Amino acid sequence: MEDFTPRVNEANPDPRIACALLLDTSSSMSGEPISQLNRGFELFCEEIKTDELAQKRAEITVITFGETARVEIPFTEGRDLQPRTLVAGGATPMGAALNLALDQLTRQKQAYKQAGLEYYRPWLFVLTDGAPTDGRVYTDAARRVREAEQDRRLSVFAIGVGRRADLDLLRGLSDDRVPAMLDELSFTEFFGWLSASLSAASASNAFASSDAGLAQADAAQQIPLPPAGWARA
Amino acid sequence: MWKVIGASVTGTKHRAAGQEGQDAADWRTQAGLTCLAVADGAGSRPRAGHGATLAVGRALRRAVCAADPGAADAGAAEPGAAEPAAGDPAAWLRLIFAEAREQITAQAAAHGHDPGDYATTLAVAILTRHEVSIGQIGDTIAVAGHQGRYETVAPERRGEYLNETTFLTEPGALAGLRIVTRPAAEVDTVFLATDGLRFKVLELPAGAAFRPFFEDLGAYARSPGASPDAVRRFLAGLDDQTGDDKTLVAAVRT
Repeated sequence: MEDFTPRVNEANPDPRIACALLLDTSSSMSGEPISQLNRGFELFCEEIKTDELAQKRAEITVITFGETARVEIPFTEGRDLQPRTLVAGGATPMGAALNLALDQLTRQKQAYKQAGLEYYRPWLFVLTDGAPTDGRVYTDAARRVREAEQDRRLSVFAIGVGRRADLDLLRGLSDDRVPAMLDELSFTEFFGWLSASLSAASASNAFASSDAGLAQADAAQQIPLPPAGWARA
Repeated sequence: MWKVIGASVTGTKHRAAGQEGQDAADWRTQAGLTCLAVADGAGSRPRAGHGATLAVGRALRRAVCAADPGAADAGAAEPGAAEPAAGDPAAWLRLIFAEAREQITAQAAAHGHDPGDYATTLAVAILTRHEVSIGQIGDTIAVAGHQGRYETVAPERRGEYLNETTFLTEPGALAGLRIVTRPAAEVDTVFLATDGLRFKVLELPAGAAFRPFFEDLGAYARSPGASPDAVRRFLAGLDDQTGDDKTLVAAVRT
């Protein structure tokens, strides 16, 4: 029997899934919470590298909001992601962080287009243990985020950390998904879940729908939130 | 005469998770008509593999009726419904897709399931003496070849994001059925595949056919020793960059 060994195309680049992590590093995160956050992110950096697809398809940026809103880690492929020790302090300029994230995601999508890369719908995560302190900036930014999700430009995951998190405000970030709650010392579980979710999304091609009205309209909809194991009821 | 070869293998991601494949593929030749079909069940839906199998099975049974109007049908056709003329493959394709969808809807209703649980894409090619007609819903891959030139046929117009496609089970899906018909004399190779192969047989992001693959496929399919087993081994050993199920069916004129 003859073997079939055709030439195949080895030159197609992998598609990308951009993921922005907005992490609250305000003073209320001081002590054990910020240590756990750093430990969780360190584990995430290890775990994402163990998934063959996610390590080259997932591109992650970390934006912190404490003293100021800033890009802590610019978009980096999973395989190159390195842990960084975050320091807690300052207020909670969450609105400025959201604006920064929207701009970064827009720029990243433009970069994908210019490079001829295919991409999944980007993910935006917001983790906070309190409430925004930048008032009007937050209100406007939250509206931008909600509109971006309505236009299917990204999928938003809002996560309240601990009992002081203002879930009502977080609810205003997404019409598609209610905020989840995370125990303030459960960052390891969260990052484990995020790594697994990025793996699942990276392996997906065609499980979603082009019909925005349908529940299964994008990869993020496949991700149960809050997942068992890290969120409080 | 058309010679057909094909196979379907479960993707590494599904195997690792202990899941069965959600692709389906089959082909049939009867009374001068050859029909090929592939389907890709939505990975996230609980009965999508069954949906893919139902769609392919229904398509082939109905195609037999197009070849041979006297042939016994499996029954889903409306009694007295007007059937297209045997020589009109595009009309048959519309009927085939409608019935494949009906079959899934009926199955879902009978078991109290949501039809979306059976979400699947579907591509069907009908090859008659006079025409070649290909119909697709969703992100299937169809390539037609003629004298060494290969062309992607009616690819799905994707949204902005990679992971979004249309399924046969969606409301209004039939309105999006893409049909391309060519004179048989202008086609000597017909290839259908599920999207698990897109990284290997297309040039992305444009989606043009990757010619060396189709040249080798055509030469192999025409060789006397060609076997589905060898195609299956090729698919099983191929690193497709996705871990998705991989399925192809190809017909070559001999």
